[in-house]
Amino acid sequence: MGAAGAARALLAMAAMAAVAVHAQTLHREADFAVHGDATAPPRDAQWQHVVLPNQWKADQPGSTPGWYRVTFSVREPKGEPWMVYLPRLREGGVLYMNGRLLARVPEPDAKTWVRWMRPHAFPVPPDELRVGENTLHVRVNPANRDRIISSIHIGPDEAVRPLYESRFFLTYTLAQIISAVTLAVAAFVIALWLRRRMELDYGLFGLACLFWGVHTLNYVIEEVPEPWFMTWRVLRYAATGGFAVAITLFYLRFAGIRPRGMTRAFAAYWLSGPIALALGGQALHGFVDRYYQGGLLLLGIVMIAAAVYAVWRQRSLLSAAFLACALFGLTGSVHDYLLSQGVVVDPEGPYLLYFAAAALLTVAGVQLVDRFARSLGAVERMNVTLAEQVAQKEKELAANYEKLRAMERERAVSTERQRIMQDMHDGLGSQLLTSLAAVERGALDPKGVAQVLRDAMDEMRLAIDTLSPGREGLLEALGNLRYRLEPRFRAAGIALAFGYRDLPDGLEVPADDALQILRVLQESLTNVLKHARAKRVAVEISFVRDPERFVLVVRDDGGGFDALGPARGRGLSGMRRRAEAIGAALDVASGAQGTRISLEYPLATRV
Amino acid sequence: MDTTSVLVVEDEPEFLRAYCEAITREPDLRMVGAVSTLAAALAVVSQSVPDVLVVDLGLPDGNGTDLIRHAVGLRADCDCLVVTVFGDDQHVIDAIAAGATGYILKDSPVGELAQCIRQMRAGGAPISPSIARRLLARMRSPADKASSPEHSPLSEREAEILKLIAKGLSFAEVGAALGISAHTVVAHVKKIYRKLSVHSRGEAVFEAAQLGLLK
Repeated sequence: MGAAGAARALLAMAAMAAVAVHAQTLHREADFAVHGDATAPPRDAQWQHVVLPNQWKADQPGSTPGWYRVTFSVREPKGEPWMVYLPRLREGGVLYMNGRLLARVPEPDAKTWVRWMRPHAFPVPPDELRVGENTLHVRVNPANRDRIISSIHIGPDEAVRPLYESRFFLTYTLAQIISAVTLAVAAFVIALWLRRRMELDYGLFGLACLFWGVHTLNYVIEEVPEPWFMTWRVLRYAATGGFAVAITLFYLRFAGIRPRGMTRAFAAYWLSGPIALALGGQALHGFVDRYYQGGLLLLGIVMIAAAVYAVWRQRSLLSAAFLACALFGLTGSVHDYLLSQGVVVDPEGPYLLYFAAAALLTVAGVQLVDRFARSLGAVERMNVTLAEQVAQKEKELAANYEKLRAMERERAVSTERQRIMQDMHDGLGSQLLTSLAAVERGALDPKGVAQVLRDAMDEMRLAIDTLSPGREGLLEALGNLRYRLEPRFRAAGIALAFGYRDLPDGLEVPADDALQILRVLQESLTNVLKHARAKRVAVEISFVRDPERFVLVVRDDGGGFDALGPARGRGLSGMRRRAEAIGAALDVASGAQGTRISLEYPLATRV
Repeated sequence: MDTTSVLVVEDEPEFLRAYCEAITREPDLRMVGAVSTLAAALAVVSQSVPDVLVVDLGLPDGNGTDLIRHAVGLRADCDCLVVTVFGDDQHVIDAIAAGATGYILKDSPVGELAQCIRQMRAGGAPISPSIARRLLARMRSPADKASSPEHSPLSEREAEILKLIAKGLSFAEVGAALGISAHTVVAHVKKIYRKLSVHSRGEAVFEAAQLGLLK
């Protein structure tokens, strides 16, 4: 078996330094005798020549122990320590050097199950050796299971110890490491899978790691107390079967084959062996060991089929690696199966699945990492695309908003223009027209013309005050009006008093409404100036709450309306019209004591 | 008697005539010239800067603000009175920034002109609500506010006065509200005008420095 040879070469390579002395220290031949005494059989006993490694069949009858004898010669005592090293002493035994007890390796008995995977080595004190011929005896107890002994190395410590240490590392320490690592990976991947149940690949890989980690404990746990043995054995079969099933399913999915029925069938098969063993106990052990384990080999064939399919479909490096692993896995499994069934006796050879499984898990891990990285990349690309789309949408939105604003502005400008046109037409325009008609009729003297023009100017000022952009509000416009009219009242000798009550800092009123309010005030004040023959006039501007309204009161001590005639009446009806237009209430009271005009403009309903 | 010398710069003959009459009528005012172009006005001012300049901003050969800047540059206590048709704010503000300390509407009763000149010579200055608000906005620009309130050239009191005037209160009412006389109020206003002029010049210098025009 080529793979087994390669693995053995690996073991040998690790011990390269000791190769030179290998031949001298290695003993592949021994004598074997069955002998009941506590001490070694004598020289003239019935020794048979055997080749190491050797298997003492359990079906050999009797309860007397078997003895292996190896003789070797020491040329001259150098006083250096020697070492006896057995790569494998599966069921233990007792070693004697020149008739004296050298070491005792625990053997299976009624209380403890024992099966050594590790190598054994024992230092030999220099004074135990003699110049010339020396003899090593190994006594093994008979039992219901085959006894297996490997070849034996005897030689100076420095030559033998490295062989022992490298084998110890490869068969024992490495198994510990693999077990720990696979269990840790299993914990991590299964935790990940529990968070993302739909990612079945993680689950299968995690389970494969878990099972393999437990299976590998097989190399580490060499002694089990009898009460626990059955449990441990069931667990071991479950782990081995579980690994085979999980890794096969994983690779089936990798190849793109996902038949549901197969998953169930595999799971059922996986459980059958351990359950049979648990229920049937020792009686069923031979059967389960032979046929359940043998059946698992078929999974190797399934896996190879899946791998071939994957290579054909994907033509990727990963699928090729998978095929190589699958081939290696099946070869190793068959090899190990034959070893375990005692068909092949090679106690020093490695269990190949040990390496094949590592390869299978590694390739599976690489495959998962590769997929994970790919999916991360895909998510990132998607995010970038998404961000670009969002940016694009934002840009469109901003453009739309800008367009909307431009339209809004245009609409506002257009409305404003229309309003100003309307105002020109109704206000200044009609004023100039009526004045023109009066002048043409010859009804006005120069003083009257001046008055008409002045009124037109005033009208225009109001429009500018209320309509020009950047105005703060009604109060400022009122202030401007007052500021403008004050000199005229001063010139006319009329005291103009303004009173403000409870006014806020600013009063926002639509420009159109402000214009009407100012017109009412201007009209009232110019009326006083022109007609009332008043000595004083008081303007009161206040802000009243509940409901919020702006109140304007103009009070004079002039002669009242009656003294005036129709001209004043026309002015009054104009004021009423303006008040109505902005929803304000105009109240006029006139008598001999003077005139009181009040305007109440509601604020709450505005804006 | 100590009289106030006045130069009138006005391109419309009607108004030029009206202003000249209004000034010559007053014994305490003395006409030193009445011209209708910027060039002529600059020539007169270069000879001797009068106490008071009455300037129309829209002259046929240039802008009245240039004349104001020139005159105030030659003589800091020269009072420049701007004549404006509608009290159009931006032009008035520009004129004040150039150094004007008063403005008068073109259609005011002619008698107002002499009174306005006297008020200015006495240290006061007229101001309308919208001019007050503009001054406030301009001298307390948001950028200034952000740096520090002290950075504004306006004192607390001056800002208070401008705020009240902007609300429409008369000088007397502002004075009453702040516990000072109307005369003090107008004196404050004149100071504010001067500050704007200085402030504007400062801004110009600052900008010029920024642009590398000055070393």
